[in-house]
Amino acid sequence: MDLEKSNRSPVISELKFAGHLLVRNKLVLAGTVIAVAVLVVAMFGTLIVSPTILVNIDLPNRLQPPSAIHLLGTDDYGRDLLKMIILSTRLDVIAMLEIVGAGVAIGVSIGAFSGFLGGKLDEALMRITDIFFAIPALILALAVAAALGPGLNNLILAIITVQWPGYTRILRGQVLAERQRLYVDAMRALGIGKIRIVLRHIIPNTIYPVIVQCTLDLGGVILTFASLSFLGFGGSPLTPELGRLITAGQLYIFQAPWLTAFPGLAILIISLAFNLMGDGIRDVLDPRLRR
Amino acid sequence: MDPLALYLTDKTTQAAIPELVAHYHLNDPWPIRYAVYLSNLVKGDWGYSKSETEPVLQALSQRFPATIELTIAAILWTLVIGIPAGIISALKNNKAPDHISRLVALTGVSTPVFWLGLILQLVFFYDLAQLGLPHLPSSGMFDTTLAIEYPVATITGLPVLDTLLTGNWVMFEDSLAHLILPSFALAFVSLGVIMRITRSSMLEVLRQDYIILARSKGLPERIVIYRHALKNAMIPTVTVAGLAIAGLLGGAPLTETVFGWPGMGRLAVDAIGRNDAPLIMGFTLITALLLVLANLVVDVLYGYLDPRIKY
Repeated sequence: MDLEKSNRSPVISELKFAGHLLVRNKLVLAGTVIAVAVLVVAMFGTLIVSPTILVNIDLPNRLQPPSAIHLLGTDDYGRDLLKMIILSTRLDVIAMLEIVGAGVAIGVSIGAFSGFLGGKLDEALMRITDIFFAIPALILALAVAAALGPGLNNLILAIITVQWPGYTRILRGQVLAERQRLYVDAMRALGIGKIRIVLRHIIPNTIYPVIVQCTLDLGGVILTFASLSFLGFGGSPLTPELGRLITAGQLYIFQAPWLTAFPGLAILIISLAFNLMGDGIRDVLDPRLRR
Repeated sequence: MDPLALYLTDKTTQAAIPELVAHYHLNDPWPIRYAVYLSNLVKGDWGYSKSETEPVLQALSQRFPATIELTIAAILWTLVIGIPAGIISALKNNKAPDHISRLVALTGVSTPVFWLGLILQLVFFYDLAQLGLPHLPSSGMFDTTLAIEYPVATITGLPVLDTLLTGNWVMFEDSLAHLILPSFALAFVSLGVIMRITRSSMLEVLRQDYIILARSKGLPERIVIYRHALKNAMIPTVTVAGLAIAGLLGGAPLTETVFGWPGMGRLAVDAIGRNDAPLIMGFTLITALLLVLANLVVDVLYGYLDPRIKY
């Protein structure tokens, strides 16, 4: 069973190397720091800001411009915009992680077995993924969300639906090359089952490009989520979500521009941070682009 | 869900119901209904839009030119700014312009297009108007009150092109002004992508032997870059431009909603609000067709850019 253990050590040295290169590039480092900060805010958001702020309506103080008390001003219900943004960031980031996580899980499982088993099943699955690439992702997500009906979970499901085929294609390509390797034959000769080979050996050896792709996708997924939410998909209009904050702020765009400007800026910063992080990770793992 | 519900409006008479059921095979199981839908598609019957009270194909074709005008304008922005910026970035590799372009490119793919649209309206329409400066219009394809005085003839359906063809200069200027903000907002996302890919393929090409040869022959740098390097560097750029069209089509519903642009994207967003499934399906299908067409054009362009590629 030494074969199984030998796969581990390169993972750790690669990670160290990655960390080293990430720290070297300032832009990537800044992005990574912000991304981590955003993740912390998402994790502890409800400790920093109590969700009761949603019902803390203070009409005399509505539409106040940014000031020392309300750093980013107040919205049309007199709620502090900064607190609303923190609360919304939590929802957006959790949705983003759920979407990419589920997308990778589905994509990797289908891609690995499709590539390893090959044959008619592989052919059929690849034609199905082709369908997804023929339609712009945002429009397909829009159509799926429309078919599923309103609701936050339906919106998340709709974006997962358009997210997995990319990972399937990447992993399958890797698996096709990997299954030709001698160690796979060796394991087959040892009588190790196909499922075990795929789960324990093929996937750990081929998953790198998928990890790179999914970190690159994080920023885009949060944009898609906020965009569809802006258009009115997802939960009720009162859901604390960044796209929704803009939908609400848009009504007062000339009167209280901060209500539109700051939530959008928050989306931009979060997305940019994850994109910088992803870009850095890609530079590390893809030597062709390292220049 | 009862499939019939999707076809019923307030004005549907009881007498019309059996006809509807028979026409769309609503009493049959879904595989048969799907087959009927597909065969109707080929015959040009894309279903009936209850919210627009007209056939889907008709509703979409009326809005089609507006979306095309917006998309073409966005492609122009992307190429006119993206390719030169990419070249400069490659020539100044790892110097300030290169870092700036990298940041701009990443900002582009990280910007919510609907938000950028709103901010552009705020700055170039409202703020400039408040300061009493000339400002850009914030919504619509042209000024409808101005259009009463100078009517816009419909030849292609693209106002900018139509007014140009008929020499209607007042409206040409007006519709062009209306196009600037929405097309820029839409283009901003793909601009950075084109910039980065032009940069990296330019860097790749500049290391080739024939570039060294061209330089050692004493050719001016301008000729080396634009005549020898650029055409070969364009192949990856064209590939990505084809993919970027997917992004532009995907951004259309958002941009059109924010700018009150009477295109297919806004029609689809409205259709979703009114639960008009045939129209949503029609819109999805037409964007898929446009995307396939764009990729076909890209394949044909390869042959022009690199004569070694033959079909």
